[in-house]
Amino acid sequence: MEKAFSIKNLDLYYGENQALKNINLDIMRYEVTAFIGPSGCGKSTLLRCLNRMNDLIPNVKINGEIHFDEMEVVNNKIDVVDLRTRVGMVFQKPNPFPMSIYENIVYGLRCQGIKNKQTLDKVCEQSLKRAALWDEVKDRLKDSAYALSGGQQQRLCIARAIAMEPEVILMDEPTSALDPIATAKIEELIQDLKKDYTIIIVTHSMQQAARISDKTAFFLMGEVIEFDQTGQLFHIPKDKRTEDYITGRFG
Amino acid sequence: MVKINLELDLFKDNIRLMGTRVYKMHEDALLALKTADKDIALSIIEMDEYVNNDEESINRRALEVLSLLAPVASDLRIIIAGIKIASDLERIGDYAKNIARFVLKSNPITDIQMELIEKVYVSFMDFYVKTIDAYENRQSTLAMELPKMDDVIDQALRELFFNLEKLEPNQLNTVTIISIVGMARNIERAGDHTKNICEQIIYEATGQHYDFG
Repeated sequence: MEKAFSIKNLDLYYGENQALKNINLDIMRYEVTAFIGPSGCGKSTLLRCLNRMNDLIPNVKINGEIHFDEMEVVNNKIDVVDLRTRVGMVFQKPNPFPMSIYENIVYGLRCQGIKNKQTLDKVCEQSLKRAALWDEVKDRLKDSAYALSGGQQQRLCIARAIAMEPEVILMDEPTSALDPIATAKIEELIQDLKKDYTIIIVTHSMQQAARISDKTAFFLMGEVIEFDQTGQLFHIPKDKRTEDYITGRFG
Repeated sequence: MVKINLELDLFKDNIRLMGTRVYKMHEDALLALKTADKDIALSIIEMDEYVNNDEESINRRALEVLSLLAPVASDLRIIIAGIKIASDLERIGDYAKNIARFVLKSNPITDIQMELIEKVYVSFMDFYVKTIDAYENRQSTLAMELPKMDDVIDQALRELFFNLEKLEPNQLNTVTIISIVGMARNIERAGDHTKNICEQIIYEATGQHYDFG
C-alpha cells in the first residue's frame, strides 16, 4: 500500500512550549486514520501541519519532515495553495460561506479562474452527490447555505472540499457539533469516500474512531503513544496509557 | 470508583460464584456415587437449575455492560471471556447432573471400580479447582500450564477402561458397565470444558487465542 504522508521526527513549538514531540507516522492512502487523545495532546496541531494551516499562527517553529508524494511539506518553499488544493480540510463547526449552496461548491473553481458554466454545474452536481447531499438540495441550489441544517452544512463543506478534487481530506472533529443522525450520515459518507480519498480525522469520540477508522493514533502530551490497526488498538492495546485512556480510567 | 470497575468486579464475582456452585455439584456427585445416595443425586439435579439461571444472569449482565458502558480493550475481554466461561461452566454442571442420573438408575459398583472412577473424578476436580482459582486471580501464566492436568485424567481413564476390559464374562453386568463408561466419559468432557476455561483466562489477560484441543 502506498503512503499518503510520511512524517519523520517532527517537533513543533508554540513559542517555548513544545506541542509535538518527535512524531513518526506513516499515513496510508485510501485509509481512514483517526487521531485520538485528550484535549491539548497535539492531535489537531499535527493535523494542521499536514496542509500548513499552522502557517497562520505566529511563533510556530517546526523541525522534522513531512513527505507528501514528492513534496516535503515542512521546510520547502512549496506552493501552499497547491498543497491545500490537494489536501482539503473540514472543520469542527460547519463554515459555509455567506452565499448560495451552488456558489459555496464552485467557489474554489472560480478562484482558479474556471468560468465555464457547464463545468461548474457538473462539478457542483457531482460533488453534492458524492457528499450525499444532492437529493436534499438539488431544487434549491440558489438558496443561502445558511438555510441548511447543521448536518447538511457540514456535508456541504465536505462537498466543497471534494469539488477541488483533493487527494486527502483532513477532518477536525467534523461531527462534534452535530446530532446523532447527522453524525451517522457523515460517518457513512466517510466510509464511502475512502474509496477515492485518504481521510485523516481528529475525534474526541473514541466510538467514532472505532467505528470508522482503519488505523488509530493515540496522542498524549505531544507524543504518539500508540499507532496501530483500529481493531487491534481497541481490543489489545500495547501501551498501558492507551488502555487507560480508551477504557476511561485516565488521570 | 469508575462505574465500569464496579460492574466488572460484580460480573467476575458472579462467574466465580457460578464456578463454586458447579464445584459443589461435582463434589456431591462423587459423594452420591460413593454412597449410592439417591437423595444427594436428586439434589444435584435440582442444583442444575440454579446453575442454568446463573448463566442467564451472567449473560444479562454482560449485555447490560456492553450496551450501557461500551467496554473496550481489557474491559471488553473480561466480558467476552466471561460469557464463554459461563457457557463452559453450565456444561460442566450438566455433566454432574448426568452422573447424578447414573447414580439414580444404576446398581452399586464394585470397590475396585469405585476406586478407579474416583481417581478419574478427583483428578478432574483438582484441575477444575485450580482453573477457577486461576480465573479469580487472573493468572494467565498458570492457565497456560493447567491444561496439562488433563493428561492425568486421561491416564486415570485408561486404567479404568483397562480394568473393565479384563472382566470375566460372568462378572459382566451390561447396565453397570454402560453406566461406568458413561460417567467416565462425562468426567472426561468436563475436563475438556475446563481446558476451554483456561483458554479464556489467557484471552482475558492477553487477548491471545490458544487452543488446548
